[in-house]
Amino acid sequence: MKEIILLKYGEIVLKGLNRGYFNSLLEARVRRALKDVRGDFSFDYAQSTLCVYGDEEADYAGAADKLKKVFGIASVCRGYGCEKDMEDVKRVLRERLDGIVGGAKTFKCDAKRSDKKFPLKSPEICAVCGGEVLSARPDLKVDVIDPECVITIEIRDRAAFIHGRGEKGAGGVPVGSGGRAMLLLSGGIDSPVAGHMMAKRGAAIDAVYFETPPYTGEAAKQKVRALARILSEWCGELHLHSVSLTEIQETLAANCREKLFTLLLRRFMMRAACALAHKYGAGCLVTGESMGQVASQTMAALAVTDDASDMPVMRPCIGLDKDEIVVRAREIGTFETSILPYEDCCTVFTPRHPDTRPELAEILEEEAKLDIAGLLERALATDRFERIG
Amino acid sequence: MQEIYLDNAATAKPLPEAVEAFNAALREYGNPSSLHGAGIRAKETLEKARAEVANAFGAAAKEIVFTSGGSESNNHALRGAFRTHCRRGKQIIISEGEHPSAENPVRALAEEYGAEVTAAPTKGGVLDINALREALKKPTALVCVMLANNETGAIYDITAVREAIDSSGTGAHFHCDAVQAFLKCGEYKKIKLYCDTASVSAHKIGGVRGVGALYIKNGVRLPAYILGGGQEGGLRSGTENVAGAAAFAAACRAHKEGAAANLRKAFTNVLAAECPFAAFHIPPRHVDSIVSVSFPGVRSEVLLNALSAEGIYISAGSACSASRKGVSRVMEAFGLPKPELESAVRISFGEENTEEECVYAAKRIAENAKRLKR
Repeated sequence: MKEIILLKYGEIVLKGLNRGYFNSLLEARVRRALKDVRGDFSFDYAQSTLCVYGDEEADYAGAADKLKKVFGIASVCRGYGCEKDMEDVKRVLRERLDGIVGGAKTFKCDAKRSDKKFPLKSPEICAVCGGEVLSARPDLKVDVIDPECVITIEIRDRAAFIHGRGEKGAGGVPVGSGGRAMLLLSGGIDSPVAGHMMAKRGAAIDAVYFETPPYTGEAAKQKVRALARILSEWCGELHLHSVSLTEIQETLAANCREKLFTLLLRRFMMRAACALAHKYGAGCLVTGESMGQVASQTMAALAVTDDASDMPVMRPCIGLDKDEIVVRAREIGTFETSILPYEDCCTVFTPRHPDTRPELAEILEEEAKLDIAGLLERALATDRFERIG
Repeated sequence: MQEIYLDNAATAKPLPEAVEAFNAALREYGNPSSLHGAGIRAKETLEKARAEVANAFGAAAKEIVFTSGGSESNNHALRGAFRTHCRRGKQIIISEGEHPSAENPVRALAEEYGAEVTAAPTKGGVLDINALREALKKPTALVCVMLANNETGAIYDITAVREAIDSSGTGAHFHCDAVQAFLKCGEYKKIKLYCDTASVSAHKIGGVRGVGALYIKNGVRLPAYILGGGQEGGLRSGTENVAGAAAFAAACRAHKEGAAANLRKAFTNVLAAECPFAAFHIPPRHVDSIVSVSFPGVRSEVLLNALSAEGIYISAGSACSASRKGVSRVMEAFGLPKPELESAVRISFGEENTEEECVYAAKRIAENAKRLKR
């Protein structure tokens, strides 16, 4: 008998000829997730399930926690592997029953017999195992309609697996299978959620943080680093760029109409992020914008912002309410950090009455007063990046 | 980068004497409660430290309880004194300038035990003693007024507080948070005369972080705060921080009074000359170690960030509340208009500072404030 973790693959099992690519990518992500977990792990892939075996030192609980954050996995299930022999199966059931059942009072057995040569058929396996469970724990009751615990016995090609109900995995597809994206990470609640959503759909994430020293301080940057670190638990190592927009903000404040400050600045952010994306091989930008949430996120404002980008801008939070975004931020663990009270880039120069229905022509007229290329070049010269995660 | 540290009211650099005493006491590895030689030596070190800290108050050693710092001392005194005195009345009177470690326990007593909190104004850095007298017409358990304010440096008149309590006949307990005043102004010597309990902290005077003391006047009864093995006269159980206490005593010994006066003068003269729009908030009576000043049009944290990048460390309000969003409650009580509230910074001097440093810092502050003014 060996303790195991079974990882049920998610939608990549529906892939066709490129299935092998997805599988090997996911296995690489799984290996990476386990690199700091105590113990040595080996892997065995069969029938859309990756079986993770640990050595005697292995920290299975720690491993399961990490694996729940790997995109591409539908469920994470701790269980036991044994010989394909009913006596062995019964022995495992007896010895590990309490761990599998937990506090449940009712159960049913569920057998999956993918090895059709196995002498017992599925209902017979269930009957044998159910009997064994009842003799070991007479306090349990069988409930086939709505059991509190389902004990699954899988008879596979090479071994038998026994486990309780698995936990939900992170879902999605493996990080990196969908290319690379440049996330505009602000330190607020929305942008980490946007990054997480895109990583879930397979994007490898790099992030850029726009700072405006001295209007923003080291504490705000530390907060962004902390957010990037939490994000990296889900999407793997990421590069966090920081670019100073101080000269741009001061120039805007000195030369442009106040009600357009935010949008003009957003357009510079887009330009800078695009330049970084091109340089580091990202194929799109990702922002945390949600339609109508603030003045710079009205439809008209987003159109003006988009105009400054020469690549697709993904806004996965666009249709979410703030409270829905908050629920997600809590789930991924960024919320508590996001609400720490440090100024982010935009707030110091925030106009009193920002324009909610900007016209592109008006914006272009303002920008005509500025040396856009020069400002952008000098801002990009401040780019520094660090590896997070 | 040369660093100039002007945030000594948040925490002061440990004095070399304190570090030396700390290291020496660490080698006294025994538990002061043990009966063997090592324990007895540690106990001796601890009691010697207690006597020296008490001496700084002009108090007796048995009137000093070592704690983990000013916050614990305030919590202990306020919660304890309320329990002892709540039969006299449910009112607790505080000043509007209190540190969060005094105000929040009082607010908690209001929620948990129905205490009624009255706050006496501190406009312009002066405690409104008439408001306090007026409040004392009601039965009162406890009065809590700090000696020197941590954001403005204002010294509140504790002599008048004592007189008001005595003439009110309420018999209220008087607790004083003396963290920023201890060894910083002559007034701290009045603690022994006028206060029932008082809090002090080692790391504000060049000791190490994590140690403080609660002065409990002889004859004043306070319930225990931490129960256990009965250390610190049964009031605060737990194995004593011997090294911290020794460093505290060494800092008391080494501390030179009056050092801040010259630094303050040099600093404010240069700053006022080089930055005409600097608005100083100078209470009529104040400690020299704290200067509060606003630069209308320059948000506090912006100036702080700009200076931090140059290695000059000052504070926006008090470190304990600076990371909260919004403006300082204490500065609001001082009566500043909004532009000055949003731009208030605190410069606080310590013994390690030199006049040269302070002059240079004043010039850099003026320069940055002028550049960043919007």
